[in-house]
Amino acid sequence: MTPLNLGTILGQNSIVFLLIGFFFGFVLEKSGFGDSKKLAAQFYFYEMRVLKVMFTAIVTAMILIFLSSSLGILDFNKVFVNPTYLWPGIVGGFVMGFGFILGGFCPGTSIVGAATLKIDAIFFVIGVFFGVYVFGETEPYFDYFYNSSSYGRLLLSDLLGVDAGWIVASVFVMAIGAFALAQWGESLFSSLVYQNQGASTSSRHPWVKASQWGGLAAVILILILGQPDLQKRWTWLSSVEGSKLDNKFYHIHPYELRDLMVNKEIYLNILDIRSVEKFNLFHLEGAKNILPDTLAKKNIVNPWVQAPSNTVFVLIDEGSNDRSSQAWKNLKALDLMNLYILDGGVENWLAHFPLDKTVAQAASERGGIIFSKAVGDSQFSSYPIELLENEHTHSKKIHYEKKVKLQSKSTVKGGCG
Amino acid sequence: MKKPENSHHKKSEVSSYINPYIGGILLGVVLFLSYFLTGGGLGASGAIGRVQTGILDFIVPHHVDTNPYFAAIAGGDKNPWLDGSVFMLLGTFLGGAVSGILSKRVKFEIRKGDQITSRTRLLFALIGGLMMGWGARLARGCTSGQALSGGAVLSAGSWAFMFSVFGGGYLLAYFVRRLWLPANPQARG
Repeated sequence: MTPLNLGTILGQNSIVFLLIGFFFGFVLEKSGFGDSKKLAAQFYFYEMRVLKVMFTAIVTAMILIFLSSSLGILDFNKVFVNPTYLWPGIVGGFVMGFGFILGGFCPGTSIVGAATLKIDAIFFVIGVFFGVYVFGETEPYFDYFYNSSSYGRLLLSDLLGVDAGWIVASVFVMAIGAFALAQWGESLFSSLVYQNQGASTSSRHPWVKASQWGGLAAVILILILGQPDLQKRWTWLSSVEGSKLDNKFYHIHPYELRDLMVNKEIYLNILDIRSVEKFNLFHLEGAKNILPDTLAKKNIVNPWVQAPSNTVFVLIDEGSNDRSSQAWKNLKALDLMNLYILDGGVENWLAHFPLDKTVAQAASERGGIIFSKAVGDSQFSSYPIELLENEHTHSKKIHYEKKVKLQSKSTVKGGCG
Repeated sequence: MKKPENSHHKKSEVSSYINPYIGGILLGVVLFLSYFLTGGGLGASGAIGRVQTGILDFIVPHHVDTNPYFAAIAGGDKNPWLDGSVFMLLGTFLGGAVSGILSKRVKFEIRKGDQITSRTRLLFALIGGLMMGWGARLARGCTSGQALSGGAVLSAGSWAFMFSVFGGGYLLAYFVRRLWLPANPQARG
């Protein structure tokens, strides 16, 4: 099943946002989050409502998201994941924690409190507006810190190098433990703070018990199914992209690559997927030697996926383009944008930009190039810019079909950008 | 230490608020739908920033254009109001109001601990809000946008953020207990 891409269909629809916000506010209020005393109680252990509601919501949404991803209904790569800016997040978090216990709300809950005319919530909202304003005024002074320790889209599963399913299972187990602790803490502290109040019986509700078992079943299913691998992800794309690839839609002429090399508006990544030996014999200026099996590694590919939209990737193979087609499919399945293949690989390149005969010459029988010595690492990385000047002066510009068109991802931002 | 007496627990006290676990499940479903339908999570502080910048742009447009942080939101021809998050914020307000009306909880009142005056409560609400607003911008999200949404999609930074928020709260809670706890708590702390 191909995932539905509802984000691009409904993503900009204001009514959808309004409705989601409506239910968000409704559930917050219904859960008691419009009342600062209920919220502050979390920090004195006698009523752990905040932990129960928040952690249950996180676990519920997490299970639904990753189950949909396992089943192929949702493409997780298209889901917005808050980028990690570690230290600004931690410092901001502590400041917010202080604000939480002093003011009794967080921004979302204060909106709900204000909607039910709690005057303290209205004052809090005014404070938030002022705080946001002060941040905007002062941000230029600590811009460096604000943008420091940036790791981009970093999932816990990437950090620990395991399948997301294991993190989902760990968070589920952690939540069950936290709820047991919360119930125990409430029974201990509620009688200390307020007499005659016993432990909450909220966990004994039959629906709650049923949901726990449902959650466990879903977690096991997520673990069994796993997250979609590259092959599966490619099958989602293959109907459209497969035929484009076969028709050489993404194969660019050597001259187009040369023009990209000298184009200052483009950040070019030349990925040479030949063997190390061949790369050392000869490569293009600025090319990176990447072996095809490393192209499936997340820590290699993730920074590329997050690169600015004027980044162009060109795969270079020896001559036949078989291996670069496979690499192209893998990278495309990981949602790499602006990905092209050098048509005919290195051999075609050398046919258009021949080297000095003392270094290399065309083998007469089967095509291909024979090098007399390994020089590619230093002086003979190919950057045929002199030719470009000749073309201009002699006005014999080579014509080719331009195929590179910059495309950017449809970016979705979270509500708290 | 006295054992809690469950027999004194009155159901009517809490019946108007939903069972927290069921509330959490419903909130989780809303959060999932937000990701499924829009590709992004829930949030409030980003929209508050937009509204604030929008108001500022109305009063002193030149200042907005020259401050890089504000200019990114409302500089030049940019419209800070036309963004999904602003509609979400409006929806949150309406949803809270409707739930409050249905449960008969809409009334002018100040919720506070017994030991402090209303004036103190409002002063601290203002200070707390200020810190929350400032911190939420530094952390690039509030409790909903970072902790709740980022937590559900397993963002590493969101989990670090979540522990920081509650760490900060618990760190200060003991020292400001007068704000929230009754005058003669049976507790030592």
